[in-house]
Amino acid sequence: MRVIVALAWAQVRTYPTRFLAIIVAVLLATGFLVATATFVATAGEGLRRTAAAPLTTADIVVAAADSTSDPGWYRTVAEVPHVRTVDPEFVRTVGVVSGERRGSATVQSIAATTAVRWFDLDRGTWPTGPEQVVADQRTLDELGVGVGERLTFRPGDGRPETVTVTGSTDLGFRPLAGASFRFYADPAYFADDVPHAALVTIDDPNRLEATVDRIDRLLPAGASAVRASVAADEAAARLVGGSTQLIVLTLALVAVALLAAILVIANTFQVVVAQRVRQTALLRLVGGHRSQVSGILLAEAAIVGTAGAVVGAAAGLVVGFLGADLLGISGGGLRVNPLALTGSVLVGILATLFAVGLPTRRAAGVAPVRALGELPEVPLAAARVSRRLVAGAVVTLGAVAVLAVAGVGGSLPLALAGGLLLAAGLLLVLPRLIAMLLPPIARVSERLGVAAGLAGSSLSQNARRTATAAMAVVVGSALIACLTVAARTGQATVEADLAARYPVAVSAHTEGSPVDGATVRALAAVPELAAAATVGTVNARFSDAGKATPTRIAALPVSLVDRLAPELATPTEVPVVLVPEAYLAARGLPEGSPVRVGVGDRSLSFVARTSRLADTTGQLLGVASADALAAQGVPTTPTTIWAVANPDFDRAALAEQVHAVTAGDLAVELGGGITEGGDLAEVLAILLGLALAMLGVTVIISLLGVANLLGLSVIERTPELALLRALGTRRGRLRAMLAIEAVTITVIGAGTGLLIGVPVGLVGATAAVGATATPVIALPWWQLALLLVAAVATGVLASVVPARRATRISPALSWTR
Amino acid sequence: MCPAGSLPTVGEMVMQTASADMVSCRDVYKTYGAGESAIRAVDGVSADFAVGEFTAIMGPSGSGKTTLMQLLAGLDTPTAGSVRVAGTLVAGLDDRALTDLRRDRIGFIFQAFNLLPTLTARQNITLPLRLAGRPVDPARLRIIVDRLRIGDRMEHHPTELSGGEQQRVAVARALLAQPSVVFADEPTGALDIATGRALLADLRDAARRYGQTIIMVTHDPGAAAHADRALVMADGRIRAELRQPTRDTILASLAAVTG
Ligand SMILES: Nc1ncnc2c1ncn2[C@@H]1O[C@H](COP(=O)(O)OP(=O)(O)OP(=O)(O)O)[C@@H](O)[C@H]1O
Ligand SMILES: [Mg+2]
Repeated sequence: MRVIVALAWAQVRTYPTRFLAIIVAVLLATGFLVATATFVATAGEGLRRTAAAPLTTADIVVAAADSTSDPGWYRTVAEVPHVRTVDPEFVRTVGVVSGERRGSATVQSIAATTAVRWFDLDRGTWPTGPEQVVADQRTLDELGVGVGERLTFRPGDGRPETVTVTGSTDLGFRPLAGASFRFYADPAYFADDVPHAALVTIDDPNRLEATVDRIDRLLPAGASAVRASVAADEAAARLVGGSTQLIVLTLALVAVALLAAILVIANTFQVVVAQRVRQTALLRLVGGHRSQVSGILLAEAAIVGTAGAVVGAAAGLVVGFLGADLLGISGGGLRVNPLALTGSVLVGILATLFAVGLPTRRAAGVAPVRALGELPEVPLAAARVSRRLVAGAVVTLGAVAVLAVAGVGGSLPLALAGGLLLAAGLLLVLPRLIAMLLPPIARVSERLGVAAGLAGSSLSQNARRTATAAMAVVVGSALIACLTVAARTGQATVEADLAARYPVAVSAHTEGSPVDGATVRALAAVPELAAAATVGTVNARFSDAGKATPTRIAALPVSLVDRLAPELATPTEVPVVLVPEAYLAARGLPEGSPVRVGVGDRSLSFVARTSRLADTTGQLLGVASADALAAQGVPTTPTTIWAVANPDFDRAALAEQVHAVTAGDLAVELGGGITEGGDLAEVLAILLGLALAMLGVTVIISLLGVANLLGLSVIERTPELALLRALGTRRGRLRAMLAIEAVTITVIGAGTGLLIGVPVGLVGATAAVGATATPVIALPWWQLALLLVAAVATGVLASVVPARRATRISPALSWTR
Repeated sequence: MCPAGSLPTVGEMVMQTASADMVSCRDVYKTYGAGESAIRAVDGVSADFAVGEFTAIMGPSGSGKTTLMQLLAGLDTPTAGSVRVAGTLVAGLDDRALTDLRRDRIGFIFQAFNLLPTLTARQNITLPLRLAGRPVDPARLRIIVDRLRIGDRMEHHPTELSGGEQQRVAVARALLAQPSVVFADEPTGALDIATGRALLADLRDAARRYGQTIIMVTHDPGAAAHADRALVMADGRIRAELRQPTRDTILASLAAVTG
């Protein structure tokens, strides 16, 4: 045992650079894993504190019954013995408009009891009346307002109200999801709202249980009382629970990085073993058993694997904590699960040992007689290779079938299973296919000049190694292609769905006063909008049908009729009015029913048809053509602007511009397509960005593999390269040769990755949205082209260091050996 | 790894084997390739190598010397015929037993690339013993390296040693484990004549002292003159056997077979 470790150590000490790639690959993979674990633990604790903070100052939390409509439901709690204070908790969602921005905000109440308030103000004073609010500094910064300045709040169904910011606080955290702003106001702001909860303090901590029970018994059915600490834990669990999918996604990407690392490690060891054939044979010759030869390699793997994993774990700790800190959710301090930490290090070491498995078998198979001289390498048993090929082909075809079914049937779990199966099959088949591709490439490259010819023949001579190095690139690029294609298709599908459901992209309407001419002109000037026009409306009385009853009639101008409602184009004897589908349904009327609508002191006859125009613009309307209304002598006021977007418009950009140009007009409220789907698109974009960033680890590992392969082959080819130099080959040509080798590997890898990733991404997106919407296939051409360009660029980059080593080889070295 | 077995002495082994032959082969053939292009590298060789005997194998290039030596050392399997080392039929051994045989009974010295580059001279010399898990006798090691004049080079790596020093390290390795038989393929091939002769003298002296059998392939008639006998090969066959060869008898014999 000792001699094995000593021999392994001697190898690592003598050729540290050969193992560098392995160490870095393990380091990156383990670091990724530990960073994830550290981030999850640290952010989890931070979020827990954030979520729990508002509940930590009370003793008991009382939640209202869902059905209650009594604004004073909590008052009876005050009568329970030992209850000291009861503070109702309110929350409202409002639109917020500052001079610069527009957005949605939640307004929460501040407890009247000072002791129950859970944050302190850094500046200014607490709000004292209904027109005052405070907010955290970040919110104020983003809205561009300061303490003492004014804002406009617009409750869902009320008039705009002006509030003054009286103070600011630094909460030290930012809500993770949802871009909405947060304000805190005096209970007086919430007027007659029903509080959703109440915070209770008691005067005797020993009677907490008993008091909770008493309150609980006192409350009507549906309402409940719990200890505040329990409520805090529940709130934290809800918040943290929401990130489980994110953790699963990250772990999946960690697994991918590990896979790439294993490929790189296996390849590096494969090359090292090939370079060491003679030494291995000598060891066997002087009496080393096969098991001892394997043992040495395993010991080497253990040494470098441990080094990489330990350093990676340390780096991961730092990165994970910094990540949480950057997001402002490290309030709980650095948290590490020691089990996860040791587990991650073990995973790194085990991955290295696993990767060395095949090279070990090859090393142990080296015949002792090869110590006597260079003999041609005996190719691996063809039977075994082809059995693997057949197995891989069967698995791959099975996977394709599963994916096809998943795509057609719209089943995401099936698509995931198919994707995994495909990965397994391709891991078996692809290296072989790529290796088969190399000799033809070599033949073509021979015609392209000396450097290309040398590069091509070197690649195809070491076809297996080249293929494995390319495989690591395939893994990364296939996933990048798959994710971007899936995201693009998913986005296009959501867009198409939104466009169909929201015929009006932008709607701005007042409460009944004429809309500001400046706003009309500003909207008309937005380049993303194809047509913008004012729409006159008038108060109208529809037969009551509950929530879906329109309150106004809109006069659709001719310029919009063709685009939005062709059914209004031709005048009919009885004019058509478009109403919400829900309205006709609620009244139990079929399409085309005659309805009467009161306008002013008149009663008009219409034929009712359903249209999305009636309820997707932020108002409940009956929509008729302007001509028809004019013909009946109905006067309207231009209270509304409707605009249709250009095809393929960028929803986020449009929303931003529209918010910007309407920020000054406090009278209008926005509606239509741009107010929808933003959250989903944002979440998708964040997830995609996160996934791509994390795939960066895989990409770096695979490039490391390419660079290392070239570096090792330069060592191996030292006499050949020296001979080339001695025969007068210029340095630049050697450099070009290595660059061509690297680029060939990365381009083969990226190309194969595209071939696999694009269809899988399409299937994935189709399966994900198939059930809820008609999938719209869209390819992110730019990103895919960029992937190929990046493959070329990174290939050149990967060849820099090996090329430097190659050009330093002295021509004199061609005499050795 | 393997526990130190109690190894029989050379004398005991002579008693075990029916004859006093350390290595012997009968009607050994080795054919490379098949059909038209088949090459008979060894074409029916029978030979015995007695315990303690120093045999030189000579012959023109391509005559099958290296191939024969590999067959005798159990590194290659003959197409036909049998090889015995220390009375054991090599063909009947599995890889484990064959490895143990090499480790405990056989020493090797080649023209070059004898040493592991990652290990020092000392580590290279003691490697077979350490692989066997046997203890290294420091006194014995000292005597051997001093006699080979490499005592002060022990902590150097092979790249830091001259060709002659490297060869002597290989000789020391072949002697330390007290193998019953040492196979040497052109051990002086990479050395100048004086260094080569000195090495051969060292090898022969040591072998005599410890009763080791030596089978050496060489092109140098002067080197072969150190041997107890010389076998002259041509076209895969043994054409002549010279007892107590001298430079002149060897040259004459070589001229005869190539003639
Ligand atoms: N692995 C092999 N495959 C095919 N032919 C081989 C192989 N090894 C040796 N030969 C052939 O067998 C014959 C004998 O080779 P061998 O190496 O035994 O000769 P040698 O006497 O040692 O020559 P030299 O003095 O040049 O070392 C040669 O013709 C050689 O080409
Ligand atoms: Mg030879």
